[in-house]
Amino acid sequence: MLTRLYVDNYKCLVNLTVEFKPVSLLLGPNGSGKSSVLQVLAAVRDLLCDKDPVDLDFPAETLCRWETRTLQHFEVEIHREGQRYVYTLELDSEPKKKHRRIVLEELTHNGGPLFRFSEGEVALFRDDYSEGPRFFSDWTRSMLATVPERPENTRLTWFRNYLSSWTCGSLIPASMLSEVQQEEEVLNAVGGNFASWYLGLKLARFDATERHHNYLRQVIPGFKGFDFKPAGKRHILYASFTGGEAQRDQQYRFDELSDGQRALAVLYALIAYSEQDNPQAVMLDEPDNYVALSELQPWLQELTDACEELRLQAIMVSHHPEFYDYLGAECGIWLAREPGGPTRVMPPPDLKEAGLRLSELAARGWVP
Amino acid sequence: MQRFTRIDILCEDEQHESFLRHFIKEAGLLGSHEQVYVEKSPRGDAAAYVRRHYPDRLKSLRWVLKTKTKQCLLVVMTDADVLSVDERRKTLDKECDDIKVPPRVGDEPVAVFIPKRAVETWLTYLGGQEVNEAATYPDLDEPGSCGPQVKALWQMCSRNQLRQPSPPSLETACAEYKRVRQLFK
Repeated sequence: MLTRLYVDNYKCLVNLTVEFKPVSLLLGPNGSGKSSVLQVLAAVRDLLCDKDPVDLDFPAETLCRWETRTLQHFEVEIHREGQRYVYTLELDSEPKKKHRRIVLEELTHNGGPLFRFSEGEVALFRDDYSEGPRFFSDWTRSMLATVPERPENTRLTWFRNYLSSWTCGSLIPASMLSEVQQEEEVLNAVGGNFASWYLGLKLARFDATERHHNYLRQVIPGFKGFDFKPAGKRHILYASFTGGEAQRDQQYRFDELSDGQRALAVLYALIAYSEQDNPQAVMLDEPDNYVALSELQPWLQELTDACEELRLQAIMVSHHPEFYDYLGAECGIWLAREPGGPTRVMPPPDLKEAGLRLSELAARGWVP
Repeated sequence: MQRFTRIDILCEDEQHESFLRHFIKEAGLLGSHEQVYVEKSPRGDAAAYVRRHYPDRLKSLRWVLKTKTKQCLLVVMTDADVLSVDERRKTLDKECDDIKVPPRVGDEPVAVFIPKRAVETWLTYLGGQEVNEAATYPDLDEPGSCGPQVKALWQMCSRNQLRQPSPPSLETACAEYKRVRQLFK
């Protein structure tokens, strides 16, 4: 589970530590830095798992505008069965300041080294922290991302695979296509490749698919199931519905479903396909978008159950009253920012004697 | 003049809301970036809605005053109908008693406005007519069109003198407004 993020000199995040729980809800006014926290996590994942150049995930524009320093520092701390992984990344500008480069990249396990890149030199370590090969390498992309999987570096590999399981983004149902060219392992930031991602899961995880369908049968009237049909070299994702006027099943391409139905399909898939042996994390910006009021709390209940069973970790941003009231008191991380100043984590408000629900206090501007 | 940073309105209907928001604007009670939050009865017995929700609004105001540095004001408007202004106010206090919330005390930033018989009585008076608080007066065609009447009220308030004969419930409301303003001077 991701337990801590430290960020220095990224947008409005300066010397900021955020500590996460199995379910965390980032709360605060617009511009307080909530989405920036999710963006840092997504950028770290993309750097390590998509092997992006550092300029793509951390362009110079992400430097804090009022800071004169060009060094950015990030730390990601993950706990797994009593073990502690800490990933550290430091970026700086090249002397000509056109490009960003990695000056330090490090992964430790319970304090012992697994990987270190510093001053252009990579030092690899084995699972028992003994020193492995050293070599000079590229400053412009993560070298941790390129280390081949070997029997002696299972911890490093686990860490990288865990990060690749993170789903980060903000769903846009209109971008979700029905056609699949090939399976994809990661759901993209807007969920546009849902069908491609779902194809692989559906084939591999029959029980989870049944669970996914059952969830959707409860929230989408008449929903029966999803199925893929071949169309030349491609596959098309269809949804089946029972009954209705025609007294027979009806089929719709996935992109013919409403925005809300498509959003629900993705949101419930994230829960249905989570596994205790291989816990994942979802980092969603405003997952309440497109979803009807009565559909939100059932999803939140299933999500929190999955998180309590440690199948999943959820880090979310929302302004929705249902999220405030269901999660805010227990899971809220309160961010605030003075105009033109850095983001700060605020102590949670003491709601004893508040008289109103958290969402109503927020609507009045009495809590962030 | 000290301005409020948050004003929380609890009232019966759109006409109450419009009257109060126009008055807040005329009186310059809020800075340009500050907020008014309005809660009004969805439908049904509007007076009962205000009465039922009043204790919780009072609690939350006390909570926010205790925990924040903001200049907050709770404004409540409920028609007296067939009761007297004092009797209607006591129904609010009784609601607090019933759930063991201490009733409002004099130095709390809570303004309770009780038009008798209804806010339409005040609007008719402010439109230039003489009124009787026992009578019923027609609704405005558009609740939001009460701006000129509220402007007239503010002008009279500024002179500390309502046109005579004035409805006693409006005199009481003016005194209530002055009391609240004194708290923030």
